[in-house]
Amino acid sequence: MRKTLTKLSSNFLLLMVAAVQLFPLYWMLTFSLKDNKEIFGGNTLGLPQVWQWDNYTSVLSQSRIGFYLLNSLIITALTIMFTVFLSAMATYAIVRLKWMMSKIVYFIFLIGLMLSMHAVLLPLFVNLKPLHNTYWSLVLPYTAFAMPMAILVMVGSLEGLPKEMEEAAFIDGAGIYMIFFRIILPLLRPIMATVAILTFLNSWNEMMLAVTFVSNDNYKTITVGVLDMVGKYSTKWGLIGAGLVVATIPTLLVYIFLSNNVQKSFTAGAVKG
Amino acid sequence: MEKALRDKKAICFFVLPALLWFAFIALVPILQSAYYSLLKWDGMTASVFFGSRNYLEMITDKLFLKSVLNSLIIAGASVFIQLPLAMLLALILHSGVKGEGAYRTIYFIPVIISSTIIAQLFMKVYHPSYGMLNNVLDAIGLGQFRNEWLANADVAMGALLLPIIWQYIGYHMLLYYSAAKSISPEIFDAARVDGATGRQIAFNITIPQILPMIKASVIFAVVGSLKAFDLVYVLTRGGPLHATEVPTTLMYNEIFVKNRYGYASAIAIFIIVECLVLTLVVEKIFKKLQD
Amino acid sequence: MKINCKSIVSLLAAATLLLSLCACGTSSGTNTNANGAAPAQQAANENIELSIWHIWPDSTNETNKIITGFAEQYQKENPHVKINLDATQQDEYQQRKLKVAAATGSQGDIFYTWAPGYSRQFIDAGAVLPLDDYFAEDKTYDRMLDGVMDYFMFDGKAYGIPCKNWAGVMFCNTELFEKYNVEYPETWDQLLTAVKTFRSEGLTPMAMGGKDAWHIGMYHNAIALRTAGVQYCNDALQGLASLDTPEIVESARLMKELSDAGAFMDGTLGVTYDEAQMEFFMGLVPMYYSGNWTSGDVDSDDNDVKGLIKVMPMPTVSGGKGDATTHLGGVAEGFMVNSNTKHPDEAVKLAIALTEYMSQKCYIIGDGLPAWKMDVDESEVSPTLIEIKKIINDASGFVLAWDTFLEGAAIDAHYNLLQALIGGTVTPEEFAQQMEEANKAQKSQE
Repeated sequence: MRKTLTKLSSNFLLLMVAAVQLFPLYWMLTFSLKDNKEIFGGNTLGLPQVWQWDNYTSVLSQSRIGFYLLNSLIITALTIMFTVFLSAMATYAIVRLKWMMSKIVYFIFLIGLMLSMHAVLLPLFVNLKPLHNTYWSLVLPYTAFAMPMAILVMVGSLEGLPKEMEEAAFIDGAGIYMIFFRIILPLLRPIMATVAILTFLNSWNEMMLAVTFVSNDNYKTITVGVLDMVGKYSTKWGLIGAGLVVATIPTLLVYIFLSNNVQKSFTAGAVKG
Repeated sequence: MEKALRDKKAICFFVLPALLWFAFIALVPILQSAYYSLLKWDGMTASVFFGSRNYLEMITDKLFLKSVLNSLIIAGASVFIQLPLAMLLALILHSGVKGEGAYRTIYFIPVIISSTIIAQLFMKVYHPSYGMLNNVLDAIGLGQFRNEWLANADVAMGALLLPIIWQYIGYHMLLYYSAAKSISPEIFDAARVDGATGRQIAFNITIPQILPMIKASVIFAVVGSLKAFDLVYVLTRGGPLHATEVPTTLMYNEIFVKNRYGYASAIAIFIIVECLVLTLVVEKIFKKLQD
Repeated sequence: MKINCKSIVSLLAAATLLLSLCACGTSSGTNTNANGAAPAQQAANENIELSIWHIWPDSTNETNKIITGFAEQYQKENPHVKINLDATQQDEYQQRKLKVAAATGSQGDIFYTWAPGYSRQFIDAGAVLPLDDYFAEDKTYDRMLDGVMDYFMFDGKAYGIPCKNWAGVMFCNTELFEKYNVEYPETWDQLLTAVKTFRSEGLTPMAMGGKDAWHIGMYHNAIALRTAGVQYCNDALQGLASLDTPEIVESARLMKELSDAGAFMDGTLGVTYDEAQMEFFMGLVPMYYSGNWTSGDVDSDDNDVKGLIKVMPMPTVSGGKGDATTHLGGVAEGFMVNSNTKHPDEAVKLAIALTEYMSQKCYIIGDGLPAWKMDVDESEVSPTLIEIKKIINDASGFVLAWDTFLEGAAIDAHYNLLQALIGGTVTPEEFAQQMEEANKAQKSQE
């Protein structure tokens, strides 16, 4: 009896939280289908009184938007790839390998986490000047600033994992590289997917560097494309809402895809374990 | 094994690609900032060497000290309110409820939506005339608690904390949940066979096992709070009357409005040092906990 | 191993340090070459590329269409010129992108900018090309209106090409004025009466979003113009006279009086300018002091106030030194040419042609008042803008919004003081005194 009660109440709690967490998505969707009058006071949180599907037609008819999405995808994919693999390697060296400087190197990476991007905009701009108007002008800094987060999370995960499997493999004659690729990488898979999600979000939503380092329409990202709709003195907010939804949908899809992967790797790990 | 783990070639192979990339792209600008922080410089015309004067001005500026206090309040709220809530959700989900995967996906959604949108949403929630919060207060008969949430210096900080804490609950939950999922299931099976309750499993097995990840998440929460910017900037711009100023909003203003690049760099370096010190403290505390 | 790792780390540290020092050296010097490629002497008709940086990225925006159309036409007429347009959203551009790029001289060959306060830094850093010789040759001044170059002259030299004029006026919603039988305010007392009447009817009388401090500045600066007069405001903002005078104190006192009378929405310090102005567009608020750029919005089908707008100057203040023929506004926006451009002659020629064309077209679409002599069919122009033009036709003087005039820390001080004035944490006397201190400190830095 008591057990069912706790179960009921915890289910109720989970549902309530789910409703709250879904609210911003609901708000963004309805926002994108309203006109300024409803957004500003008329009907800020309810369903649209008049559904402004035009907002989407206008956004999608801007021929560049597909192009901007593609740019964002390329930049983000490269960033994730480099971040996840380089960080996994560094994590292994920091946690498992034995060397004097490992703690110090770990802290050097952590400094990246503590930096406010506004402060380094100017030096970054100068240092990366030869690469401006290329994907690399964004992939290089996005990766560099994602690695601290990735390493922190992966170190947190690897420290918690037992060493027995590696020791067993070593006794079976496996070398260090073999152990990394055959044992550590599979073990880290759930957390690598998590890191991929977080890296994806950061680089997909990043705006300041994307605006400043790119002065060529061919390399603009979707975030900048949406920003372009914001006028200084008059703005159609519903249109921006539609742009934001278009920009957010890939994030949602990638998240769901990656998080299913997380789920799968959990089960895969469980079978092996 | 020991010898193999000390193989210097292997160590270089694993750590150098990431370290070099990080050093040249991220560390160099940080060192440049450290140098700028010793200058009186507008970011454009000739600079003058200023020594420690930027730092002296900073630590004697009441507004700056207040902004540091505000950022510490955010950090405290994150660690003591946000993280426990995230842990609670992660434990409930991990204990195996119906629709585990769906909940996990949904709970993360506020993190996916960019801070700018979340801030726009809360501007609607807090709006003095048509905001949802005031309307709800009226509806449930608490009209006397209506407020100009973002315009009243006494309550603005509290109003700001709510979205800051709430948006990233899903983030930390996901970290805990992934870590808990990595624990070998046999351990749990064994505990269940021994008749352990859900609560006992959580406190005696799950939490101790994922302690390293909890440490990582505490570092995230602290560092993230000390350099929080987006939500604060869009929601209040540090106002009203500087009530919600944090070091990053001050720094932003120094760079992009006042053109005081040298002083702003000093703030940036301060934030890094502050974060480093607190990170070390967190590492020490967790080292004790782990032993 | 020990040695190995240590040496790697110390090597790294040394390398980063070296790199950072090199980078410092170049970044503070500014006059590095713009595009990285080796500068080459151009023969007359060799193919060249010129970039234009502007702030209308939205391809459905009218100004964007004007610039794009112009560029196409220009390239047809000058087949050896290839124009690269780069548009950035205004806040990002003004606050960050242009500043960062100009620090290394890598902004566009031709770039949109704001005079006089904002661009001062670029001139000092040598990032802008002086245009006097070109203007003399081209007889450009003959085609401009009088006085439009005032703010584009730095240290006696012409550094920019003015594009459009702006003026602030009070937009009144005639429907609400008639409904509540309120007199259109021409004097301060009438304004206070109007504010109190609308307040008592449960309306917010004036649209102002105090979270954006510049929006408070629009009101306050216009009032200061009434109390202190055009000449004095201009002098004082340039540091030639003190801002700590009874007239400036009075302007702050009146602003506070307006606020205390309930002129602005409750919690205005937590509300942005676009939230505030939207209530005016929705026909909920009877008065809005804003620039002529608002005329496009009030005449738009999207808003409820179309056809209901009466524009008038900021009411006069008894005993004030500025009359109703003086306005907040002036010619402060235009294009400048990068001093690092590889093709200065071609760039200036393009910049002048572009600006002259835009000045005319922007007037037609309601985005700005003319800065050049032009012959325009006014039937195409937004009706409210024509009304504004009538008001300023016999203008005797303009003062820019203070934040365009002031520089750096003085802007920040102005913003802080405006909000503190509304929030009641500084007195009008302190406002004037601290404004003067900030302006003097900033000016003495140069």
